[in-house]
Amino acid sequence: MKLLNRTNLYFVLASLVVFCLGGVLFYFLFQLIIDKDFNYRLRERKNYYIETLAHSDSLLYFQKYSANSVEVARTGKFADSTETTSDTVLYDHIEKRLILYRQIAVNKYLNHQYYKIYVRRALVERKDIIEGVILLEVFLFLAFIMVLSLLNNQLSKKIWKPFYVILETINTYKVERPESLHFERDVITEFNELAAAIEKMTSKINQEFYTLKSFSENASHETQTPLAIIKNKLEVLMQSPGLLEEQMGMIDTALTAANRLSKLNEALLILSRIENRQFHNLEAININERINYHLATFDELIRMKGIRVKKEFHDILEVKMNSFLADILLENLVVNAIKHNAQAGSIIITIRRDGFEFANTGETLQEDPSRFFERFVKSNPKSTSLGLGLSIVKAISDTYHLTVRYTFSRNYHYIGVHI
Amino acid sequence: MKTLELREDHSLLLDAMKILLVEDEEALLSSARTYLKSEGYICEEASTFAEGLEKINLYEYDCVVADIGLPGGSGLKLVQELKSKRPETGIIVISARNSLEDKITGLDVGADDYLTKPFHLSELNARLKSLLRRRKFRGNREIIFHEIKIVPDTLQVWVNDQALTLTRKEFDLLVYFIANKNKVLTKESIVEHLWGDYIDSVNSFDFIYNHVSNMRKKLIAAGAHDYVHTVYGMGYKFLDA
Repeated sequence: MKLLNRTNLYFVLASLVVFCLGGVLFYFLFQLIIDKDFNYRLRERKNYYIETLAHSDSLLYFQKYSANSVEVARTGKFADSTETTSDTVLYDHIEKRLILYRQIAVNKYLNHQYYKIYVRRALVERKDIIEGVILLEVFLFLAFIMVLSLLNNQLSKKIWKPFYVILETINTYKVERPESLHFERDVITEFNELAAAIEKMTSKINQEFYTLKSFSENASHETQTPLAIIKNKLEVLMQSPGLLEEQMGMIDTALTAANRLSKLNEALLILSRIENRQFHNLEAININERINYHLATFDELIRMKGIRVKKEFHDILEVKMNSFLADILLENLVVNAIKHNAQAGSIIITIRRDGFEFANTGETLQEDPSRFFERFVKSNPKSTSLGLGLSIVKAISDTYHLTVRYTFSRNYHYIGVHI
Repeated sequence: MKTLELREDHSLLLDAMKILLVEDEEALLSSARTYLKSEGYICEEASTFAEGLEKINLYEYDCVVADIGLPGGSGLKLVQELKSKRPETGIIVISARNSLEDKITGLDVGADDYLTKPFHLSELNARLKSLLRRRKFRGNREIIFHEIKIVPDTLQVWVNDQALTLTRKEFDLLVYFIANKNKVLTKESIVEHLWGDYIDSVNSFDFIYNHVSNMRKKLIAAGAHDYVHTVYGMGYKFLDA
């Protein structure tokens, strides 16, 4: 639920109470005004009848046509001439029902004659007033809600704009992007505070991220020289005459480990350089050509494993990217398809206008495919592979906004790269 | 100009070749020196930019191997200097960074070859030999090893004047073996030499065994001596005997 709707809900509930109270007050006020006006008119009528009666007594004969509105009768002598106002219910012959009247009863001595005069008027029924008030209230309430929501919509667009800008920016925020976040200042203090807090936080995150990154990069760099020394010394040592088999084995193991370490280092360095966007020169790379080239490089390996390679190049695909990265990408995919292939298996490489795909036979993998492109995830934990090949493929694809997907079906592993 | 000796078996000797190694890391310098000296080169060393500059100004070398990151200046500057003063000298640059830009700049300013640290000494040796062969013996680029004759330009191999068909990788392997004869070559160094320094290596070295044994069988079948020896636990050795 949006914050605005939430506040609006309370707003509406509160105004409902106010409108109800207002309705009651309205009713009484209405009643009061009507009453006052009614009484005034009734008195006026009374005066008129008295006036008429003073000139002639014809009213006595006409009153029967006036329904219940006037009643005049000759009476005997009476003591007082007081006037009483009261409400009474009488039967209306025209409407044929009981109706509430207000009447003024007055005793009057006119032209040597004593009269009793009732002047009546049908009262506005309470039911009608209530109906009117409710109708009015409902109309006002609806109008109020409509205006409120219209206003809120506009307000939310205008006032909440900086908030949505901030939200959008945070959503698309990437820690590896070098530029720190900056928001335009608004008139609203809370949003400015939020913007300032987020700017501060992200710049701190950025800083930490880069410190960490440069630390790991420097660490990798600094490791290269000692590694080179270890490797070279072992290489020299291994040329010494008269080494025992056991010693040779140890030298070889040490050398293999040092090699692995330096490969790992290189791979991590490459990854961080890709992520830091340090490869700039873009060229149109002919994917068909490069795949053919890498297949040729590993041709003997392919033949040794008895792998059949089927090329389904439907189109010539050119992608604008750095040639070095393109080669790393394609080489990794070729090596991957050979390495994880079965003996006498097959590789199918498909190239279409919108991308290319490597399919290779091989064992069913235990690993969750979604984790495939993560670093150090290996299908076989015992394998000496670094588990970085596909991370590099992913990193390069991401750099050029290519989507890379792994699927497995009918004994084939598919890795597709699409524009 | 040094005189080139021709041995009975017609292989060109590189004994007289003078190499300058410019590298600030003493430990690396000493292992390279040991390895190259055992190959018969005359090695001189410099550990700073200034020292390197002084030496290339004073002496003549057949080849200079220079690290790019040097105290006191870039090895690339040294390359430029050398190129203008002594264009006949072969140059190999070495960089700690596996960076394409360094490679391009290195080759642009006139280096003949490029190696990334860490590298195998056998690889450095093979690159040096190939470079010296290209630069020094223009008219005679053949590699002759006893009864084996190799023409790198045309990728041809003869055993006792009988042509031998090798695959590209077998050919490269043979050249690599002969360049590092009498040295133990690890499977890793062979893989890297043949397939390059790719990131996530295939790492199964069984196929190296297949490769070596295929090449060996072909050589023996053509009447060559069996020079390839397996060194238990480590790799192979091409014995000059």
